[in-house]
Amino acid sequence: MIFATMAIGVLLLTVLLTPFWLGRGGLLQASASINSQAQLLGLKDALLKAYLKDELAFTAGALPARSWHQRRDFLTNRYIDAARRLDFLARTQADGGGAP
Amino acid sequence: MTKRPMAPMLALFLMLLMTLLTPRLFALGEAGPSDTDEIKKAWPTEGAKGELFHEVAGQLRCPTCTGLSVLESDARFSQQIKEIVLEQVESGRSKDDILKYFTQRYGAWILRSPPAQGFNIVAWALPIAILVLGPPAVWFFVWRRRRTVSTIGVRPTSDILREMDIRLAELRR
Repeated sequence: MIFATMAIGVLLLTVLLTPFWLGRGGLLQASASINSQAQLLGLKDALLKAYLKDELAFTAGALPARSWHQRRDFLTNRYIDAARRLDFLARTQADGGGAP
Repeated sequence: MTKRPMAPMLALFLMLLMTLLTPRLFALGEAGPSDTDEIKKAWPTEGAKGELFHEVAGQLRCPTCTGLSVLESDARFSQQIKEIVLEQVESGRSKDDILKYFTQRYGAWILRSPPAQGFNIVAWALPIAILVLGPPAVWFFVWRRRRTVSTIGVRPTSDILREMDIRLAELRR
């Protein structure tokens, strides 16, 4: 019984956490875990491209308004996260310290 | 037949048993049967003397209980104190006189509410001070921390959003 519970728990956790690693273009990865400035710059570019792609799909009528608003908020928030992390890394590097 | 591990089940059973039994054990500790086996005496409830008796007995601490006044307690010691209170009420003494009598005999400890004088004033002032000064103090420390964090080279959100708009406009061209 206990093994079945543990197996279900691990499976559930995997299903819940998978998008953080396997999301489209890795966009769901938390910016706070990225320590490479080049990677963050690439992430910001990828987010902007995804934004424009979804915007285009919305204006073409291929994406419902509700989905577009959700995507827009999500991509904007991820962009803010990435930009903040980049600012922080740039500052700590300028101060001579490494990323935490 | 496979052997099932019994340790987790046994631990669960013991935890459940302890959860069920612990309150009962504490309850037995608070009011032992020897304290409550006295026949309850009928205390006055009506008239000016009844009111005075209730008021005074309600302000005196039961020495053998937890958080109860002698009025609420049926312990032997509380019964004795109530008898003395009743005697004094019937002899026409005032509330302050009766409380003073008990304070002189047992100390300020016997009162459920410590008198607001001397060191005891701390017990009155501290909760009020925490209630009044606590929220501003928490706000001040959180605000100071936020200010400290926001200065580590991180731009405000409005600046980042402006940058995002500019870059989107460039890409749309």
